[in-house]
Amino acid sequence: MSTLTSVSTASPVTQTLTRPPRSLWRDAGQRLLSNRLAQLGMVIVVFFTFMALFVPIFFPYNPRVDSDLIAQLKPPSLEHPMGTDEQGRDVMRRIAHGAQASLGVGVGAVLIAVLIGTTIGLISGYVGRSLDLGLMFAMDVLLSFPGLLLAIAVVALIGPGLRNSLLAISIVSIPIYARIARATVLSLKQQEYVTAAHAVGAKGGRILFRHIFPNSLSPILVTATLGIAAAILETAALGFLGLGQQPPFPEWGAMLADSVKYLTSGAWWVLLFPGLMIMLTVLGFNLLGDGLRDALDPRLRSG
Amino acid sequence: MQSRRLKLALPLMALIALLVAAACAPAAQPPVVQTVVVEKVQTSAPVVQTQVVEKVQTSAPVVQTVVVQATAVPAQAPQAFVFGAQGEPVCLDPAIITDGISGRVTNQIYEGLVKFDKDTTNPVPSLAKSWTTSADGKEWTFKLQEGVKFHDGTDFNADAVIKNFDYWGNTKNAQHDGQVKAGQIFEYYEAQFGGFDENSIIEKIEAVDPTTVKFTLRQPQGPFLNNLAMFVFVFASPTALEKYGVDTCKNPVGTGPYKFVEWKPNEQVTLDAFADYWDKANAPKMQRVIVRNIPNNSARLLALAAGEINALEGMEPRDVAAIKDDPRFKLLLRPTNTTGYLAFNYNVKEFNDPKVRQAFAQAINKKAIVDALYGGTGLVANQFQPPSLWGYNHDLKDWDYDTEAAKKLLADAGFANGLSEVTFNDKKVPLELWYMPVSRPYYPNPKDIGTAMAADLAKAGINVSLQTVDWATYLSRRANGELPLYMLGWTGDNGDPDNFVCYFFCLSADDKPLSREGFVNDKALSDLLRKAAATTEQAERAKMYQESEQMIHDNIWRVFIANNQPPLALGANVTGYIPNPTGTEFFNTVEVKATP
Repeated sequence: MSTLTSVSTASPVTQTLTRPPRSLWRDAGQRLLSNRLAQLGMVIVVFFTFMALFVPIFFPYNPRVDSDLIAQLKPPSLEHPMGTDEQGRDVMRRIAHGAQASLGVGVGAVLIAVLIGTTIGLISGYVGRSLDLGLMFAMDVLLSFPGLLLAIAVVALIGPGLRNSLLAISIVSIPIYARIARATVLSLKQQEYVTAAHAVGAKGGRILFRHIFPNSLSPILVTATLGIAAAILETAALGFLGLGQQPPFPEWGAMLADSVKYLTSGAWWVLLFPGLMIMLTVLGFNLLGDGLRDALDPRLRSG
Repeated sequence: MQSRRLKLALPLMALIALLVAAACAPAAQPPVVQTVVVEKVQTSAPVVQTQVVEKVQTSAPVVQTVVVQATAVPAQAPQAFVFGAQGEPVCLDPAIITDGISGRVTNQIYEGLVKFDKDTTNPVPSLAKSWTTSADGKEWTFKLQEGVKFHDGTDFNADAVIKNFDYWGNTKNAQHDGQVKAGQIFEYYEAQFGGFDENSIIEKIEAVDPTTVKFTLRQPQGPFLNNLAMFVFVFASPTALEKYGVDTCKNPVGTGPYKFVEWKPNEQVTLDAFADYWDKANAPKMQRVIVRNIPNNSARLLALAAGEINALEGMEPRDVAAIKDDPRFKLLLRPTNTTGYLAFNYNVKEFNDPKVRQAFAQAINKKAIVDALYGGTGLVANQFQPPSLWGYNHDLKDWDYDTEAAKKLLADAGFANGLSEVTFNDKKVPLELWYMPVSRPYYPNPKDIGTAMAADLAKAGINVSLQTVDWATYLSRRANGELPLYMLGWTGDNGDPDNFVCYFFCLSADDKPLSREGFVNDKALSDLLRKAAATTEQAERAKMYQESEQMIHDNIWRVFIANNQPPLALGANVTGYIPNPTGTEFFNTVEVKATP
């Protein structure tokens, strides 16, 4: 953390007297909290995260045995606030449990992509030369495919399923993070503190991971938050195409796909609610990501 | 701020796009009206028409607007009959296919010696004018229609009949051999006529004169004439067979009222009226027939409502009642002749225990499935034959639906903790239940029915993972015995119980279990069914088929779920569509009237 504080305390001495020094992250956090839209995004994200984490623990549900054909396609009521689907299953319960699949894949895929992508980008940018050329060429090849199409191709290759769609989406997202990480490394490499670290005899790995990496985090963090939104959408799209979560396990995209056939017969609730959930989570992560970007942008920093 | 607003709009757009995409999927395809209008303009050779049609479909929206305006000209009868099918044809060589989706197309192109009359399974003359049979039932002599030509100009005669039978049943025939080497099997010929070469029930076929053929059978066959009326025993041009070989699938040439124009994969098959069709009284009423592939039930119905297609098969059970009451549509029901079942693969070690199979039979709540997922057109099945067949066993009593009994049976079989893993081909694998990806007459919504069955099974402690794959792969993996537990069904082809029971439970000619039937192996049953097929007295045969159903039930070789009266929906302006219990329907009588 020492490097971080050294960056932010480069403020006039007078200010240091009027208010205690704040770290970049604390500063950004405060600005994030004062952003209305980001607040809304955070509320949504926290809500769905809690849903994904705690619903399966406190309200255990076995989708394998969940079927009551007599109660099929009942409109919303007190007993079933979001109605029932064609198997007579409670839509609200399946949405609550589906959050784990949708968010899990979204967050998981981005985490994997960030880990691999950033590592590739850091090394590529720092080492440079032919390694950089080769790695970035590979990333360009990956980037040249439309994301969802490549994900479909990957799933078609390794077979449908939730775990495989997670893999597919993360593979598709790797080049984005690799590119960003490399770009930041290229600019940070020229900074005085890196030269200073060189001068005192620090090794390459130490410089890369102790000095450069922490300072390249903010753009990656912003992209990753927005990336989660995109990954959730892609999960839903794969589920919609029948390539993601397999029946009878709930996942929002798959629920949407199963319900499209009721478009003509008036059972709107099986269609509306999963769609609404996809929309809300994606909206939440997008708002949060936008707020983060504003908060971390030094040019927008207020006193 | 610009970008933030964009970000806000993104998820909204995504949802709307998903909904709109679902609703508009059929509308996005080129509407048929376009084709029709273009045809009106182009009255010259059909080849030219196709080219023009293609051009319109791929061209800019501006052209489309012009075409749409042209349709505003009233009271001009449409030239094409467009049928919305549930999936993609597998192949257009009737000798190879077994599925109704391919059959829908080949029925219009090809003809056999006899065909089923209207909405029955009574064989009536088609390419054979008349026939006689010897007293011992071993000799059949057919008098052929004269002056019949194939679409490629080849003459249809006794020689063509013999060449086709040689292609189907002679393993030394070059084309037959080519197909077998390409991985195809002549499944129906083997099943209906007992096998190939010396195993075939047909000993020889002779041309008495160019318009007379004589069949000599090794032993009499009860359903012989009904077999010949099936949609697969229809004649291809011998010239075309030689020319195309294994590519006959994509180059069908028959004598039927419609001839093949083109097959756009995953889109549609186009057929045109055959100008030199021999049967002037039954000449096709429409210039063109298009069989379009629309796998999604709702999308297909929306296409019908929009007038893009004129008829369809397979609909959401919930939609059936609505269609009945809607003046824009006509609802037709095919007489029940179809059974959906759950099949065991006997290479799965656990399925060889009758207790395990009984647990399956008692765990599944068939009545709930039929009531909830068949839209009022289904019946609970307790045996293979549908109740309309004369071999149906009315005294048979089904296993009770009883989850507790199923659990106990599993425990007795040594699976007190449930059954989630099985030994398949000597490998431990998770137990998979395969459901087909397309809507079929016997399973209008396989995924929902499969999910319901899986839930019933799970309640009894049998945990299956649901699996599916595209239709052609599904069928070929079933044929090779690679599916451990699978849903499939059957629509009777010829109104004879033999076609239901023996097709599935007769062993191969050398008494080996068949891979396509999950290696089911019951010699006593097979012998009984063979005897029944070789008997010509119907009352005697009926008794044997009833007994065979009891044997299948007692051994629980399979779990039969439901019979269905498959519904068909037509536009109100479509006349002359006759639903046949076998699903073998001819489009030459179909007419699309101009809408006022």
